[in-house]
Amino acid sequence: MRKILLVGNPNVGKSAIFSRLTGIHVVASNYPGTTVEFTQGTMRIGQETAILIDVPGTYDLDATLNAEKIVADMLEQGDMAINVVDATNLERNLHLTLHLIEKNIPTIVALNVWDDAKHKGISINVQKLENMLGVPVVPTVGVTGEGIVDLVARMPEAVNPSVGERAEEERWTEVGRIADAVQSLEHRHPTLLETLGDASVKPLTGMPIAILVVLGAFTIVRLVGEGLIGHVFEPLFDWLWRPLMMQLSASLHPESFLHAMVIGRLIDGQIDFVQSFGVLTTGLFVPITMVLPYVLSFYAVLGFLEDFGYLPRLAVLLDNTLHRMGIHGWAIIPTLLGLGCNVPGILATRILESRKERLIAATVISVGVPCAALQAMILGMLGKRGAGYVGIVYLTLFVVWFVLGSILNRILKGESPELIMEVPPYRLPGMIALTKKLWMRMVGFFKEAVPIVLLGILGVNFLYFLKVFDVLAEFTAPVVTTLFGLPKEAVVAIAIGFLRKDVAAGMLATLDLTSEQLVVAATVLAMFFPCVATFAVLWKELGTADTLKSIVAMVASSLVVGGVLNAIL
Amino acid sequence: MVERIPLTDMKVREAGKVVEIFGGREVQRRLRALGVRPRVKVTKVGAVSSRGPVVIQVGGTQISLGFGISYRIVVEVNR
Repeated sequence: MRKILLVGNPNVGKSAIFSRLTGIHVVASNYPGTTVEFTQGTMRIGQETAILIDVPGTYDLDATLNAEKIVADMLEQGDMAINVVDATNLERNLHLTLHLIEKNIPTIVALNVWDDAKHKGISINVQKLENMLGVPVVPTVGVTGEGIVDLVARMPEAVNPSVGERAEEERWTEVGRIADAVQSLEHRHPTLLETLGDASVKPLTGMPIAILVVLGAFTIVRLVGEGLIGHVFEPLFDWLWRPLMMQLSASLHPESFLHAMVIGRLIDGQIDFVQSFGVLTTGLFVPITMVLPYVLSFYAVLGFLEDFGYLPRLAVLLDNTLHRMGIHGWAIIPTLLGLGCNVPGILATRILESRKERLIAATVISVGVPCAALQAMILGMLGKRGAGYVGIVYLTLFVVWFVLGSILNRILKGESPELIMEVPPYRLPGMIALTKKLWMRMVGFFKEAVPIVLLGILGVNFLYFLKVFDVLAEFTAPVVTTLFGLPKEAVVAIAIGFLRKDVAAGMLATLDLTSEQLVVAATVLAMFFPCVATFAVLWKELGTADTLKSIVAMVASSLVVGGVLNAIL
Repeated sequence: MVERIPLTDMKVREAGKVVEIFGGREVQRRLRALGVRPRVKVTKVGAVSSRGPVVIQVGGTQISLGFGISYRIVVEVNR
């Protein structure tokens, strides 16, 4: 099968075109660097089936950034390139187009964001552009699908005019010549979105807007999450599932092994979905009723901010602060993704240039950024005891995030490059695109979380049965009881945190802790060690040596913080 | 009067022409790839604080640059 590459500058809409061509949905957002790993799928061109590869966005084919290295390698293997060009930004995009053509690969150009170009008063003579480049050019709108049929129809015409390699300066001169010939700009007043975009990075208006957006986002996530739990998920669970489980419980011997596994222990003769800890009780209640609503509302809000284009502006505003941690402002995007799940957060640190930055960013995400599943459990369990307790956990994690970053910045060698990033225009997100992205993320959550939660609870019950935990608890008692002031059984929860943090938090609920103890336990659980999925991606991304450094930082800081919290609370 | 100043000293909404970029080869290359090259017109869109990053408009794109980099980009402005 022929390999077709989808190549273009970052944030020109490659992922949207990829979805259109293959029918596979990939996460697309309005900021550069959404695709750090390549995605591939198959597409049909007439009778032929070909492999289409969504290559991470690049400004340049001379690879130095991680993402660009991947692109250079992939170009070697491709049989044809679809070059996605942002019509609102012709010059910069054409520089890559010319470079791509020089690489002797048959090319077709998709002149994307065609609708935006028209609104911005940019008109491009497509026929003339096609003649000057020597390759087919098709106007497209990836988001709506306009022009995609034409693009596929003209793919067999993809050619390479064999122009030979140019020097960079020569290429820019050629870009200027082409752009002057094919493009005409019409002056018009800035739109409301553009004015708002500019206001978001100005000294007087930028910070107030940022505070409003962040507070607003958190409030909406909480209100929607709580609302869904209280009014939809919990009542449904009680109404539909509880009677079934009570019947099942009654049909099993209460002291039997099977009852302990499936239903768990009864509290006052009743099933307590949080504390019973059976596979079909707590095992389903935790992921579906306690965690899912928060994950849903978190990703709905994040998806909107991503597609609107706010996040790169937040990066600009936080650049100075993050510099103290040895990372630049852009690192706020992986951090926010980490609030959903640490795995995509750590993957997104690929956009950072140096090894030092990536180590710092990945470590502070693993330590100080609790995933949505854990946050849901913390809110669900500690929220009842008072908002102040939840506040202590969040504040502590925030301070740890910042202080640990600053310390790592001092002790780690290596450079911290400065911010050089494109700031995309604000765009009103389409409901369909938002819903699809949310749906994909929820399916991802379901596939990854629910089976592991069920297995985890099964494993925990089994190990309890075998009394394995008693040994572990005795062994670690000095640290857990003396340093953290927790009952020695709490170590089991912290150990289970390696599997899934929400299950681990659920175990804390069975321990009868005081509010202060719960604060310490939740904080240590969040910081101590990443869950297995995060650990795997950390290892893959950082390599063994840096992962070890990261783990040392996590364990050390959680021991210190757990001890300090225990002492002062 | 034509003045040569670092990008950081431009006023918000002021336009100028890039004259010279100081900095390592890698930074220069990344800036060029984003379209920031000598003789190109830039407009300052925003700046967070007096020693913070700067946002500029080059062609159809807005680009955010750290303070250190912006300070090493010399622009010509009419004042």
